[in-house]
Amino acid sequence: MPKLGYVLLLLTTLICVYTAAAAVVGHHKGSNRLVESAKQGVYAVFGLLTCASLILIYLFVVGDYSVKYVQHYSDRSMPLFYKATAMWGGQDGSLLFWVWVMSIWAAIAVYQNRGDRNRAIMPYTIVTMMWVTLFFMSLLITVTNPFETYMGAAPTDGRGLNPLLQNAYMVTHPPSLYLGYIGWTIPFCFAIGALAHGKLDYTWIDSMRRWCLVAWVCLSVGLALGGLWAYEELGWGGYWAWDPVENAAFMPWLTGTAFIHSIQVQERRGIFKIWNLLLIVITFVLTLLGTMMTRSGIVESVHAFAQSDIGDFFLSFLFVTLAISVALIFYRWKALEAKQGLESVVSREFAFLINNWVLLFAAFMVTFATLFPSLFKAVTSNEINVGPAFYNLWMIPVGLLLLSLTGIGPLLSWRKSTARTIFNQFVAPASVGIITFGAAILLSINVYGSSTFITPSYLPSGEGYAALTLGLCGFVTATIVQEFWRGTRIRAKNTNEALFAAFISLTSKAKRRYGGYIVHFGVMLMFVGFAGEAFKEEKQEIMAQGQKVKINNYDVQFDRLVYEDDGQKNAVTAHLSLFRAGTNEKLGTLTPAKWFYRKPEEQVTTEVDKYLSIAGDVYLVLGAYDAKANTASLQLKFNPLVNFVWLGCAFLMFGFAVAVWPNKTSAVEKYAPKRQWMRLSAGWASFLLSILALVLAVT
Amino acid sequence: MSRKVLQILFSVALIGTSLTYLITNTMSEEMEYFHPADVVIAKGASLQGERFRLGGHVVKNSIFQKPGTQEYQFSVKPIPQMMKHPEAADKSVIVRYTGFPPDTFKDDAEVIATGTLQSDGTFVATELLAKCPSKYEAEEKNKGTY
Repeated sequence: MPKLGYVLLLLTTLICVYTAAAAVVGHHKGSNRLVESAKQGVYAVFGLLTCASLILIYLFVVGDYSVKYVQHYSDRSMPLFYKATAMWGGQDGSLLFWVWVMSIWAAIAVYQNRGDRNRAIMPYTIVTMMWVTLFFMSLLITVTNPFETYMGAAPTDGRGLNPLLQNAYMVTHPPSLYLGYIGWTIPFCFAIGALAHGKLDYTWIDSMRRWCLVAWVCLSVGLALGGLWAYEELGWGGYWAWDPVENAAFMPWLTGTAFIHSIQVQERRGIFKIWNLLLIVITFVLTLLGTMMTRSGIVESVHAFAQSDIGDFFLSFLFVTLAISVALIFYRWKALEAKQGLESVVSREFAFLINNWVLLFAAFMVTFATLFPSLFKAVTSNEINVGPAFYNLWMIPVGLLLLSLTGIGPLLSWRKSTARTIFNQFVAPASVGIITFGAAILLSINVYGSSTFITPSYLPSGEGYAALTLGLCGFVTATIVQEFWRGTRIRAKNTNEALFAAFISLTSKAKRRYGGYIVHFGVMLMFVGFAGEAFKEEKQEIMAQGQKVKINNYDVQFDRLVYEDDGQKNAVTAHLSLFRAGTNEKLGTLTPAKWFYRKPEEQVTTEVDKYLSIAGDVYLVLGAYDAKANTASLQLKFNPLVNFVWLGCAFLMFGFAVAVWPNKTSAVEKYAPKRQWMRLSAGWASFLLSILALVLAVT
Repeated sequence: MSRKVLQILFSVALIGTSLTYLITNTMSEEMEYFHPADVVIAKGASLQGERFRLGGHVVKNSIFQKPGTQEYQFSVKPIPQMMKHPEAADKSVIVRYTGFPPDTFKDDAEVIATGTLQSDGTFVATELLAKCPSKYEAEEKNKGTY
């Protein structure tokens, strides 16, 4: 079986080479048959990699410990579900997983563009897809072969998977992140296809518009799931720590966000062509850099202490790809130059430009700071660490700037806004923003006892930033409500519909626009959650049986310790009762625990427990326990507003589903009614996504 | 190349350099140096006062916990493979730490403690990271773990 897997990998590599060659030759000789054959090649790569990946999963499920990779990342006692998903538990398998997802995306893209659609740019698009696939294949068949077996006698059992990875978030977080990462590869391939062929109008972006949204939402959800995992599994009480591996996923998210905004300017006004191409190239390069950082251990991180030898391969591939892309843009510079410029700085396109600059700056900053320790070590051979304080210093103002643009942008008109429209658009939201800001200051003084809002260096303090954030959140909400309200009222007047009916039909007539507003609303909710960070409470207590400790508006009482064994691990669980402060009203029982795994050797995990509420979570960590004295050392935290982050993510997914919901009468369907099922399945996919969003919101 | 291209390249270079300057300038205030235990032992006096990260192995049977508190004291010795000052090989640094230690903190574990060196030669840490000492991890050197 492992041999078959390896042979499939070799075969895939050969077919990649053939496919790329067929596409190039077919394009230059004008042979349609060869180009069609190249498209078949993309499907073949998809088929072969699917088989190879299924074989690897199968090896995990049956527990073939003669395969090194399987032996390293699983063992007999693991539940079946985690055995199957251990496929992406380590480097070799996750690279196979990467290229497998890539082949799925590529096959879908080629299927969408079968026949005459985008005929001109498809050949070089396919070449680019194969170029990326080949890079990963060359790694898989040489240094990171997941099917490598032991030479001598095979071990009878595996070493087990890191228990931190054995939970639902780790099953869903990497695939979601990878779908997002690799989702950005396809628009990049189309961009290179368009550049190589010279057909540089809006068509390639138009056919990639939904792709980009899908990639963007997958990356966003992947980031959120990673945050949830950190929050629930790592037990330090937060969801984001500017760890290099988190940054790795955040960097392409920033430039990708810039891209999906600035392509709207190209669609409307035909400018920003070069800018958009650069953004998609940068986004792709950053996804590669991100994969390299997560996988090679080039950057030291709490996720990966270990070093690996694939970094150099990645770097060379990255530089070659970047060089070719930039060279192509310079080669086509004349054709790309804008025929017209910006008309006014008080226009939506200018707001988009500022948004792009800020996002690009943020991406640059995060990348630089993440790589800085490695560069510093290479130059001075001293090791340093850049802590979260540095990121927060820069990224909080950057985030607030972006948040305010979320409100300002949609209020400005294209081309030029007059003073009168500006007043008309801004007066209500700005007043709401100022009132919320004042309310936030009063609230933080009265509820949280804040006293300083400005630090001695004239920067806002944590509480100052929180009040500013909440004020801006009020402003953004007001702009969104105003947009919906004005649209609904005009539509109700014009069509004589009832207000609610007008609201629904308004949204469904301009799904992209109103879906976008819902996404903005979700982002705003996330910022509310971020603001809550300023009001965190934390205590460490060694608690005797029956002792009560007060945190926020709750009393926590330690009841007893419970010892259990389920075959895979020993568990020590502390049982605690939660009361409303000063009363005997019991709200629930919390059970933070420590789990001692048999495999991998002596692994211990800390299982947190929390009491959820919209005002904030009570978050308990069992630090240590004393069986003799019957005491438990507990870390008690109160995380205000944290659930707004997850709620915001749910709205973001819902807004995405609205934005990409298929139109009722698309041009494609008029000519090909057979494709109805595609529309239906796309509809169902969006529907399921929104259900998932709701489930996420509720739990 | 047209004039416009040069203009763009020039402004990108200008903005890039000034930003890099600003960023590195603020970064120097926030960054922490990493010093392996042998360096700290060999030239300890010069490191007093500044906050840095100390790395090394926990000496066997050196972990003490003050009963009824979260105060820990343990010794950290140099990691043989990374040694720059061989004269420090048999010496160690005493570390004091208050708080919950990570699950992987035990005898022989590789630790990174963040804090300051006191004038009496002890290191007072406010943060503690630890890596499992078992053979499992040692053999894993070539594999990234997520």
